[in-house]
Amino acid sequence: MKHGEQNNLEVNRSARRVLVTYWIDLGRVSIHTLKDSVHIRGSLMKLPGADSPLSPSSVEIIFRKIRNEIGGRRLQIDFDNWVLNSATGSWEPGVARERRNANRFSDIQERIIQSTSIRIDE
Amino acid sequence: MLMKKILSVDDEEAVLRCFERALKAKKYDIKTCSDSEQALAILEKEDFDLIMLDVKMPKANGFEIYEQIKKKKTPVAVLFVTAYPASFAAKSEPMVHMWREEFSDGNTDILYKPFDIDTLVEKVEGLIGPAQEDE
Repeated sequence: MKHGEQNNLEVNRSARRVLVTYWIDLGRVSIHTLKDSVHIRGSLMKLPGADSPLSPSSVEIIFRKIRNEIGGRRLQIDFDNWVLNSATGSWEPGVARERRNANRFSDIQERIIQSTSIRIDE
Repeated sequence: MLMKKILSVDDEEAVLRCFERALKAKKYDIKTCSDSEQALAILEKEDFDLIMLDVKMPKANGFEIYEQIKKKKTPVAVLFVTAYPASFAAKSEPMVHMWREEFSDGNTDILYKPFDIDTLVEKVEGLIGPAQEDE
């Protein structure tokens, strides 16, 4: 494995470890490191059944800890349910944007189903 | 060039074919099987960079296979695939324990159905990197 790639994967692991510590639902976020940037996108929310909901201060702490873990890399955050208020500099719950629909699994499933007659329940 | 190896375990054939199609297109070396017994037999003989586990399966479910995988000395990345986010609810003691003790290594991720192929590839690359590496 290339050294740079190994570093990128370790950065991803570090970010994931922080999210796990705060009971963040990993199924709703994607983490990708490329060169000097770490991209985290999706929806930031806790696992079902986790005790306390996310607050602006806890979100800020999570991002601060991730920044500590990723060294000097730039952190790019794109969540559909938390937005950074540029006026106050604090994180606020935001209105979810519509997710991308291109290349959806269900579309590909449908093409496979048409050719095999196998039925899938999502 | 060495290709990164993935084992996908799912009891739905169409899902396995979907993963095969999407990840072979990205040049990953993917093997599939449909239950825990086959999976554990394959894992006895071969090493993989990533194991994709359906959560709800007959016989042993994905969590039981995960426990077996985690007993191995060689760390391996795991991607759970499920249509049921409630499977990961932090309510039961076994799940809380698994989350704290196993997920905390940062080597495990979750993919919820339905998903887009970009997200699937992003999750896989986020765990093991692009498909091919130089020798």
